[in-house]
Amino acid sequence: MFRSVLRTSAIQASRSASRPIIGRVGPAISAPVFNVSSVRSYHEKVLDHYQNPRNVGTLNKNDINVGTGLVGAPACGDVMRLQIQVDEETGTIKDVKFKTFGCGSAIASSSYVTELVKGKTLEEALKIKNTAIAKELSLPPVKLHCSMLAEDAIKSAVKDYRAKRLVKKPTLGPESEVAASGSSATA
Amino acid sequence: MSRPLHVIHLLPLDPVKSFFQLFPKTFPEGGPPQDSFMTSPKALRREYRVLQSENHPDILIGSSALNKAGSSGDASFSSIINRAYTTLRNPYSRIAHLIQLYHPQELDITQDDTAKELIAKFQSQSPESSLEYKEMLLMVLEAHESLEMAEQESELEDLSAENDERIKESEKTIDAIIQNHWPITDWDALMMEAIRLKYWVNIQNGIKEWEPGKPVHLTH
Repeated sequence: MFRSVLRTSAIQASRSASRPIIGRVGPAISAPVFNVSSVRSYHEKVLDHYQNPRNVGTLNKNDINVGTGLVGAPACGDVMRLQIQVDEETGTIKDVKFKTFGCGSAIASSSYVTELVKGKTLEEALKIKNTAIAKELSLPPVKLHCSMLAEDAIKSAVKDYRAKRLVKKPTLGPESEVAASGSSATA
Repeated sequence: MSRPLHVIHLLPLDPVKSFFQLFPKTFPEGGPPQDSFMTSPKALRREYRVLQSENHPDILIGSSALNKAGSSGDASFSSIINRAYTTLRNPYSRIAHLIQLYHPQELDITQDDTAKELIAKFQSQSPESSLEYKEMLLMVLEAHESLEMAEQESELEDLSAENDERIKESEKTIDAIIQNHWPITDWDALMMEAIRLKYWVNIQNGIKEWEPGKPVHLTH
């Protein structure tokens, strides 16, 4: 999984170099090429997700197959909304969108976590630990709570999805419009 | 909980724990609850400048004997004044400081764990409080969306005014709790209001840092 993410990051990173609209970012980012080998693995991934966050957006929160997680990090005032769309047949997450109002690390963590959960079952998604996110993005200790926000958001989204289903009790109902397997997202 | 302030020996009031005491003109009684929680940012700034001009290490080194024993102490005094000022000028860090000073467990709500525990407790109180918290988060996201969609600064005026109002209301609520319910028994209520204030202050920062075409990210 991580490998595939790495590959996409590399592609995205090269794409981003030609992107004209890069907004304000920290001083380290203004250099277009990351050639400082000692810090490369750290910066590249965080910065990539920070500059080109994946899966930003909104899903229909009223859709029975969509679970919405809304969480805040009270100490820094960051807020994140993460939505998952679950394929009823396979029980896997076939789409995921997020929106984060927060610092770079929080945005990078949320973006990374959306890539991570796509194609996973709910159980697998629940097992994602913030320490793994922080490690993958090499977040410094002071920014650990930013990755915590992403973990909280996934948990909250799954919880919302399940709560919704409990209330409505759909038993593979006619409202399922899923035709093909949703696991193609991992390809 | 570390108390770096004990470092200062040179102050007239030895061990000073409270940042409020460093600004006697703004807080003549040593800070809330005797003084109001609502401060005048201008007065605080003026006093800060005076203190800095009296205590800045460059000035001291330049004017008095070269590197006397006290100079390193003076440098740290100057940096403590800086920290105190930064803490007190922002209403959120001001209330967080006050809570840490007087809370029986010296709780520091700027710690994520502490704040989260508090929120979990608050949300589990009733479905209403849980909903209230979610609504607040939604409001933050909506403000964020307005920031992202805005194309000109003038479009932010309403958002900014609305948010300033929220900050002021929150400060008033905090002041009322401090003035009317001291000594505090319901610390949780005060701390929850402080957390609300944190979210509003964050929106304010987002507005301040907004520039056309720039992605809306926060720095902290």
